[in-house]
Amino acid sequence: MAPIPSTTFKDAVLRKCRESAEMKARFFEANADTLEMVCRRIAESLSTGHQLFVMGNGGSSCDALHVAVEFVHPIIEKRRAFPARALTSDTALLTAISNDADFSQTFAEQLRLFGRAGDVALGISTSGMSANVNYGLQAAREIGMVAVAFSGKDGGRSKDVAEYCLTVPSFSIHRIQEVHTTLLHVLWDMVHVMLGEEDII
Amino acid sequence: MKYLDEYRDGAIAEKIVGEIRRTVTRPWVLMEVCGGQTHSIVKYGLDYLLPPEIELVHGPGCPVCVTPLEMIDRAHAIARQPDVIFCSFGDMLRVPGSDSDLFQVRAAGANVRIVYSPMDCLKIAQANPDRKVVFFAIGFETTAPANAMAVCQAKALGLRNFSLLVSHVMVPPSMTAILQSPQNRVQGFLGPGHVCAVMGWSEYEPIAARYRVPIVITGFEPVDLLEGILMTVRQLERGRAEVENQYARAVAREGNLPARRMIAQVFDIADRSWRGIGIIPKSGYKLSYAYREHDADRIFQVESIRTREPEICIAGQVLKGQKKPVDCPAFGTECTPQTPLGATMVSAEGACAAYFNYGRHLVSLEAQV
Repeated sequence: MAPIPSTTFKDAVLRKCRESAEMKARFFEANADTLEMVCRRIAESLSTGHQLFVMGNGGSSCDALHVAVEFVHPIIEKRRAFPARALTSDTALLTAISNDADFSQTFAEQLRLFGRAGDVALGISTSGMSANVNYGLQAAREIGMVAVAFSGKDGGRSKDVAEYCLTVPSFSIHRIQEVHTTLLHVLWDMVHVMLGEEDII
Repeated sequence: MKYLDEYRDGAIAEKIVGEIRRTVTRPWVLMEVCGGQTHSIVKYGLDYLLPPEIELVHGPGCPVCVTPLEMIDRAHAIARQPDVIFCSFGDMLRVPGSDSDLFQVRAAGANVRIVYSPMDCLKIAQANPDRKVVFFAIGFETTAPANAMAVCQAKALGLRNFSLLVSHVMVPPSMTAILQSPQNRVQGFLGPGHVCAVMGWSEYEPIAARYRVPIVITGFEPVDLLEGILMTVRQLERGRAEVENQYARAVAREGNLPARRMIAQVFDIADRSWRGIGIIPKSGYKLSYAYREHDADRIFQVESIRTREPEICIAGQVLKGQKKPVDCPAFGTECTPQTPLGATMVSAEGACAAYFNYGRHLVSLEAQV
């Protein structure tokens, strides 16, 4: 292993952290208005008995689970739980659809079965190019669901198929995912604030 | 002829070369992305006209060259099946697979046909309802719309005996892969004129900004290329990294919207393997689920394929701009267009073939004497 001088190491770490913080600030500055609309649509949907479905691949599949658990089991005890489901968690179903049909259909098939008009679909893809996420968003719109995308780079195809696309304009997957993580926390928090909870976080 | 003569005008070319000489103050490495551009540069000896500070390296934009060996072997395996009519553009027939090329497959009895358009295959499929007609759909964003159109038509006509063996790739991810390589030397790009005529150039803007490289969308005639080089060098000398369009007579910012829509309708984005480079994430197209009945990859279950590349061949490094054809010990001796070892020597757009066809192997041999 090549030795790294401690000052170089510290510089590198601080540079990456600075990049991450600057990217978040830039993103929220540019997207606050869209985020407000998205939060309002999700708040309306969940408060009227609808569900949230979340989808993504790889690291974004972890984000999908993260979003779902935030809503189903709020970290702040007094806040309400809402029905949310990550479409990435059923291994039998995912492998069956992939094997029998195509991997690109893994989320779309689930949404056609479980989704109802007025529900929300949230697709997370750092490139906006993930075929299964985009087909999921497309299926959601056909059903009459609210289709929201968290994306990166130039938004890829997600920006064309989603009703709302929140794009992190970076080429670094890590920086994009770091913004997505902050975004999912802010989104969860602000949905609750819109539904009358105190803005305490 | 308008749009041609003025772009081959020696006096104009000389003027631009003079301007390049006045502009350049230090060494720069530029990559022309397209094989067609490489071909013109070598044919007209443009690299010999440039000041020594400017080095041109040749990019991965030759569709035949970057089609992976595994895909060529798969094509051969499908073509050998008795109920198949295998169709391809002519330049793929001489590309060597691990053991043979499509000419040899045809000589051994397979029904392999050269077509000039994928739409020709639809007529063949209609005339041969008891045969499976497969078209080898290779290439960049330039050939993808016509192939997409053929599948659309086949679906509309109910031609279930027509399929595509898809090996389409996209230019921007390959440029990103080159820029991310630790061995990268490229400081500016002459962007792919024909690809951008279809796709526009907006998707190159994040690349220019992220990697701080100028990208000048450039045409294919000598004056186009020299002007593209001048525009790139101006940006480099002034510390700019933007996308500019030299090829304005053919390329619009948004590209060809109906063609882009056709691509988006028929193809999904997929990871693709590039010959000599390896797998580049989300760098190509595959047929979408809606067109699965026309996907040769699904229809034909080809046994697992083991490929063998000639060890001496440096085509991969040539495609990434890390080496030039004359750096290869086999260039012009063991490897010629008649006996190609790698795909860069087979295709007319390949850098090795361009160097050979315009006598660069003789220059190289003279230098060794």
